[in-house]
Amino acid sequence: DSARQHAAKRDCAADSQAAPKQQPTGSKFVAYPLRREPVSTSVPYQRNRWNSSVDGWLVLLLTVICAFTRLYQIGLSNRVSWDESYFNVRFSGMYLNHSYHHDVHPPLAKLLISFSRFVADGSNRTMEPKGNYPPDFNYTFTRCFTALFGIGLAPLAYLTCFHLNMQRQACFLAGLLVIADNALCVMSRFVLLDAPLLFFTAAALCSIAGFQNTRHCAFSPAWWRWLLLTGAALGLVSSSKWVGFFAVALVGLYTMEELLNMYADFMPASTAIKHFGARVAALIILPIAIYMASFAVHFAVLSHSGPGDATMPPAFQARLYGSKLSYQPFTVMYGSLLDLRSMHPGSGLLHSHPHKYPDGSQQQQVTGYSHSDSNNNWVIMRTGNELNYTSDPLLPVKDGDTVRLMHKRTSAMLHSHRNYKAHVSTHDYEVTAYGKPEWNDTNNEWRIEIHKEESSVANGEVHAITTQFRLRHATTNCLLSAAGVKLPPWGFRQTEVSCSRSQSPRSAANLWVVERHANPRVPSVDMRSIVKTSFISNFLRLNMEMARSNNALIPDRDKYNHLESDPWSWPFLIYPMRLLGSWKKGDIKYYEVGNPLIWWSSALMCLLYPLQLAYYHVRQARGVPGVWAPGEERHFWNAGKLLWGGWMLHYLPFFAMGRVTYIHHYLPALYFAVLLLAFEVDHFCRRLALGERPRTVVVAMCAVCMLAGFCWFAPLTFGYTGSMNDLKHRQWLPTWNIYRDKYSM
Amino acid sequence: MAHLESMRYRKQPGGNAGHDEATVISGMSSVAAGTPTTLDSDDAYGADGAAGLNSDLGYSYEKKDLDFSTSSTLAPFAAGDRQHQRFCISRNQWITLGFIVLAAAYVRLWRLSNPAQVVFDEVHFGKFAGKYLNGTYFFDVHPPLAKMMFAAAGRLAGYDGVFDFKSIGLDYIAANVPYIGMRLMPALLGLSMVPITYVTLAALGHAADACALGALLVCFENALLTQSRLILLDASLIFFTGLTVMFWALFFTESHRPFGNRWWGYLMLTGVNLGNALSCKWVGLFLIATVGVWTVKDLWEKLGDLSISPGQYVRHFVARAVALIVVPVVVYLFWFQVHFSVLHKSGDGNAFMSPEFQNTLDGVNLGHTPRDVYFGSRVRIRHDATNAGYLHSHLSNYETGSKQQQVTLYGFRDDNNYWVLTRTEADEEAHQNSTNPHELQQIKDGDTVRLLHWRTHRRLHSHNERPPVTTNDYQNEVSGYGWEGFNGDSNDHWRVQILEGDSSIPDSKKKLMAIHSKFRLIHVNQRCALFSNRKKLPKWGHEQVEVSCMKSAKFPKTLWRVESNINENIPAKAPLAEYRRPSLIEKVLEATAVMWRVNNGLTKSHPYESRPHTWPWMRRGMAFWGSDNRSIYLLGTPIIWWLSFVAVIIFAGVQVVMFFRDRRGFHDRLLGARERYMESVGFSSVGWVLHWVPFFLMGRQLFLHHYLPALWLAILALVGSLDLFTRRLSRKVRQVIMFALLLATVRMYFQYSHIAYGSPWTRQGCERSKWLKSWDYDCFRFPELGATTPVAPGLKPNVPEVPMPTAGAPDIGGEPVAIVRNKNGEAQHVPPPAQNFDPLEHENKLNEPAPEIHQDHLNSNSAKLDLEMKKKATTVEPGSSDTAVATNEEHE
Repeated sequence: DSARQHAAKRDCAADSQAAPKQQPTGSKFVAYPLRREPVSTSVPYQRNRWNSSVDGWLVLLLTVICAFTRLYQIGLSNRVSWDESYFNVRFSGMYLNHSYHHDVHPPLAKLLISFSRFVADGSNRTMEPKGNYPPDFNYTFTRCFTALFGIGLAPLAYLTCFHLNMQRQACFLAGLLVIADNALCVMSRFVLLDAPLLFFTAAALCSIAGFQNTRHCAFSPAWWRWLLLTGAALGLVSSSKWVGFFAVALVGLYTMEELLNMYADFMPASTAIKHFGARVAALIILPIAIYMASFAVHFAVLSHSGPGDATMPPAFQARLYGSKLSYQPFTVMYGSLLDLRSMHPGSGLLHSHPHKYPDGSQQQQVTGYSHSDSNNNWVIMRTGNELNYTSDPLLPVKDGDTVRLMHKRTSAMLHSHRNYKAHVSTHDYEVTAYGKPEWNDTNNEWRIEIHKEESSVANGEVHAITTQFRLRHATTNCLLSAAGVKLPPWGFRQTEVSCSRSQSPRSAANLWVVERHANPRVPSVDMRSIVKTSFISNFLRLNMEMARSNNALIPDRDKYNHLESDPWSWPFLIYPMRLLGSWKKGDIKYYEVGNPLIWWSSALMCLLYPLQLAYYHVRQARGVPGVWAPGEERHFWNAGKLLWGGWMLHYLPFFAMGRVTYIHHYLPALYFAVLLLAFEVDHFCRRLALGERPRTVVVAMCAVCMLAGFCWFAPLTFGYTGSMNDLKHRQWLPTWNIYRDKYSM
Repeated sequence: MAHLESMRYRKQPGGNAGHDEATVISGMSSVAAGTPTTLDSDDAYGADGAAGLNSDLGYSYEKKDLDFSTSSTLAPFAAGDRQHQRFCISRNQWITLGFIVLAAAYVRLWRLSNPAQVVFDEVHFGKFAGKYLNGTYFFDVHPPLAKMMFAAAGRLAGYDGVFDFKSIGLDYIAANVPYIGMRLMPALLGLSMVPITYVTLAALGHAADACALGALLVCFENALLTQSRLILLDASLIFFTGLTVMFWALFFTESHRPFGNRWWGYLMLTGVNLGNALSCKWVGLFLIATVGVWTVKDLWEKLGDLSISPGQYVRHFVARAVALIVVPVVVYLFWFQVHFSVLHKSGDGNAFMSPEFQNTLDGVNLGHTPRDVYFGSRVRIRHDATNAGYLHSHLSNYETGSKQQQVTLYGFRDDNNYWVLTRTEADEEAHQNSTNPHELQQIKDGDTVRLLHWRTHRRLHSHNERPPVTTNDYQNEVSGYGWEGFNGDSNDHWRVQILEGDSSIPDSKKKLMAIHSKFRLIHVNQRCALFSNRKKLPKWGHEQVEVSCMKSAKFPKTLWRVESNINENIPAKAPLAEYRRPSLIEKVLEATAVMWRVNNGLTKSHPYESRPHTWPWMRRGMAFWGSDNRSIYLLGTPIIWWLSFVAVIIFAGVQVVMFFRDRRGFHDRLLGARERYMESVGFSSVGWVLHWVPFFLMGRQLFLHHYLPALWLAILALVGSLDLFTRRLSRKVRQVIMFALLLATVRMYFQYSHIAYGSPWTRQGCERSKWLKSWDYDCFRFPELGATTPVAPGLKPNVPEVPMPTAGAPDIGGEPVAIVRNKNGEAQHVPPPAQNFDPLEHENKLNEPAPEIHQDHLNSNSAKLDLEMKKKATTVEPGSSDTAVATNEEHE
């Protein structure tokens, strides 16, 4: 054991010299191996060593070139381009004036952008989300800020390849390829989330490669550094966009393989526990902490009421400055005007309108509706007598009371009956608005069952916002329920409200809370001092809402949309995208088209890699000697699994997504594919046993081709103002809409 | 990577006979000897020490294995014994099997005549059998084989195809239906599952007592029993699944004599029965996946077997590709060919199919029509992608949007489908002034036309209003607008854009030709394309299909075809067009596509549907049939369901443990039992997973009986595990365990046989048998012990609400075609109710009154409406009020 540790230390200190592997000797038995084909390799597979005078200069060179391509003419167009209307205008504006809003993306990258806008502008003025920026707004600065992330991508590509032990020429090629891709370039020239996302993804890949490279010297400072960097990068990338979870999956799979290998190794239990614990801390706890911290900042900054209030529960809203909910009567009295919200997220407020159900009882519809509206107002009344809340004695609504609810606008009573089934959830009873307050109909009566109260004010009475209760129908014993099911078009696609017969009283669908409360005879109080919320529950709720709104972005599959494209088309670059809606003469046009040479050749490599694996393994299984040069097998697997696996994990899940997809969703996968391309060039150079010189020539030729491709499409990347007729030759595929759109009518 | 490395250890040094113990040992020892040098020095975890240790342990284990297996008295595990002798079943075993089959025949055929009423889905499959006997085309979501078998059984039994199996509970005897003969077919198939199970287990290498146990478990399993006594498809599916698995297992008994006669025979029979299973129900695809997974595993292992030359390897590969891919496809096509040739008459399934397809049926004659379409031609235009019918209009107005006349798709041919293609006002004027105004002018790609509704003189019109159902802002309403004498406005202008033509007639892409040209109609002002998406209009639209005009529509659902083309001026000898005759493959592909679409649309909830996660522990059964004091309820034998599930879970657990032990270098062989366990229980467990897990992905309604093929595989796994786990026990203990299981099964069979056979029961017995609260058969149905008459319904206290049995598979047949034109070319007006394209909606509608028929062609009424329209036009829509030209700013 001590000998092994000693060996490990020696390994850390110096480069491990790959010991020549003994080739399996021929079998004694009659066997049918494939053709023998010895491989001679002049280039040994060993760990790269950093050489400042070479590597340092190369990285610097890449950074400078990259900076030029990302920054050249960056302020040319003063139009709000593509999603800049969200990130540079709307959301950052709302971060700056602290108003609460809702979005499908996690907050980190948007917070960074808002910070840059704060530095550039300082004011929290509102701007038009379309058209041009105000003349005194320094949009160039905010664009430069996001471009910084884009600039970082090229050196990161070099470093990643370096840690994957590719040769310097290939590392440099990888950096150049990242520079020479038009799509990567154009998407980092605007204030969008893609540049930060790509940068953090690349950082995660780089650190896991570095971590892999230090695996011989576990628990050394370098090992810890890379491990923690990986965790931090994972936290940052998933706080920028949920696509970052694919990077988490990659690192997770990598770690699982690593742990499995360790399991096969008979290491002392204490060492194994240390390994395991270190990974749990760095790769699970640290990213979660960063992710949650970004939300904590998000909540802390957005302290005022804003357009996103309605997505959060009433208790959260009541704590926002300026919210209508934070100042209202507290104890609900008979005769109060109420807005009732279902605790089931997405079901909205209890609502009714003068439209009838098309069948069933054909009485007035009762639905769930998420927007504030006077049709959400209900008057809570006692049973039996008619309402007169200006003169009746002021009585609180208590647990166990039987009440009636009158829809204020139509004076119809909340009603349910045994005779008719609900329209979508057919196991439940229908809920309608029916009858007049003076009618004595027991089908209008509902019993209050308090589920949960704020402990500091609990007294068995119903309070605004803090009391969760059920409404149990008096005659059928069912529970008023809104499970978030959408109604057909006759119900205006609002959510269904039914009377649930499956008695699951704890289910959120059956719980209601008074969101708005009005009663002229009861004084209003400041709810902010009464209501409490916890960060964890807000955090979880917001993430659920993000998932919901993400899934709600469903495209019409029959409609051709020149912005959307399906995942299958991405690697082949079939539907590039116009970054500006306007494509008229004189407009500065930006076109999101990748460098086809890079896209197509990298896609080819992604298809090739698994075939290569299969090919080599078949030969090995058939006992062909000399399939691998010493160390080559491990190198081929260690580097390839990260790059190809990353490509798969960042690409395939999009096929399973129902939401709209755009071509730039492929960019993270493209980054992996580009690195894989460089890796394959390196691999073939080694297998062909090219010397230093020919290798440089090959790599240089590749680089020149790719750069030529970049220059050819550069006008569309840097902003094109000339005549479209000159771009005819740049429309390489008939599906591209650079020049003309084949679907235009 | 890792598994490949392990493979190298196992195969490379002693590769000539992977199954031979001795060589494995030598292989292991050679690995042990070579360890220090064969490992990558680059490996991070210093695996050298570990591997050395492993191989030592492995060696000692291997050695022990050999000792034990040779001394083992009970059937030895070692594969070597099976290596050289041919698989056979001894005479004693045959005799045992004979007795078991006799017992099973009694169990399976007893009271087959009961009940003499239509039960559950007999509603559908009985009806379909009748359609085969009548030869009328129908549509169903399942492939044809099982249904044709019922038809054949019905024919043999003397069923004439008249009785229509309309609803559950109809009496067979009164209608004189030979239902026993029809039920005998699935019952015999179910019965043959007993010997099939026996042979399969024997071929998988299990001992005789285990084979007998398996056969008896299958015999007494209540769910398999209930399902195979009725006119339902599952018995055939399970039968062919069983046959496939049996032949597949037999195929492996021949693996040491590759390419021999038996080897080929078993392989081919596997393929044929795969095809048969697939032709019964698409669940057969899961079986193909199961066999496929095992084939891949087998081929992968052969790859590392150096005793097989590359040439032989290719032969192995090709043999399997032919037998397991080509043969099933051919069988599937063959049964469809039979299906199509039996169903040669037009029937209620027509509406699901394309005109090309319909044209192959007797009684449908879409005939031929003049090919070239000219200005002034009166045409009928069919929507190409949906088979939903013809562009149609009638004298009813929209109740939303512009409130102008409705334009819809309508599935039946009547005069309201006729449109006259005319020139625009300006073109017409120019044409009149030209040299020969009477010359016919063919419509070309890019021409602008107006479509005049022949009967009501409205023009096809669109404007910036939202359609009634699809209310997206990129959709425009399409209406009929105008009156006789009104010259129209520019919102009536449509540009013809021909996108596809018949490849044999190159001109059909440039000039508009009936049937051959598929074209879009693009509204000139709004830049939208005439579109339909099978959305139904509300009742005021007679539930016909909505037509809208969609901006930026993708191509498929905007394509139209001219089907009939009438123009008095066309010379008699003008070329004609008719629908192409599709080939068998095209017909099968089309039928398959429609089946797929409709199948996915079956999402309506059913009182007895269940989700897959509840199946293995049988949360709930299904009510098939009920009468005053008897009922049939599909419920399995609990002990078999639960234990078989446990057996599969144990297999998975053992694999996980073994995986980790392998990683540590212990390559346990457990006296050869591990290999046996993998080959037998492994195969059934993988099959079980593949027959169960895919259901989670299905959105359609699912039922408990979908689990039955998986259940049968799980029973194989259960018996296989039991056999292997008890081999090392003494013979006595082993037999006690097996008998206990058998006794428990038989006990439960008797306990639940009342609801399997629909025989009398008592309330007490019923209540006692409800082990799970969720089993919802109705005990109040049965008389109390000692009571002579059933309890009157009014006296039932706290009766739980039990849904009544309803058919599981929804009815998807359309209404019969009511009219075609008579000889004079006039339509006879017996307008049928609006046609149903979406079976789901059809289902919803089953209990509603028939939709109102549009009242059209009443000329007096028409004149009145004309007047109203004119009035409206002067006030609401002055000529071109909504002709504002849409600008497309995104275009240069």
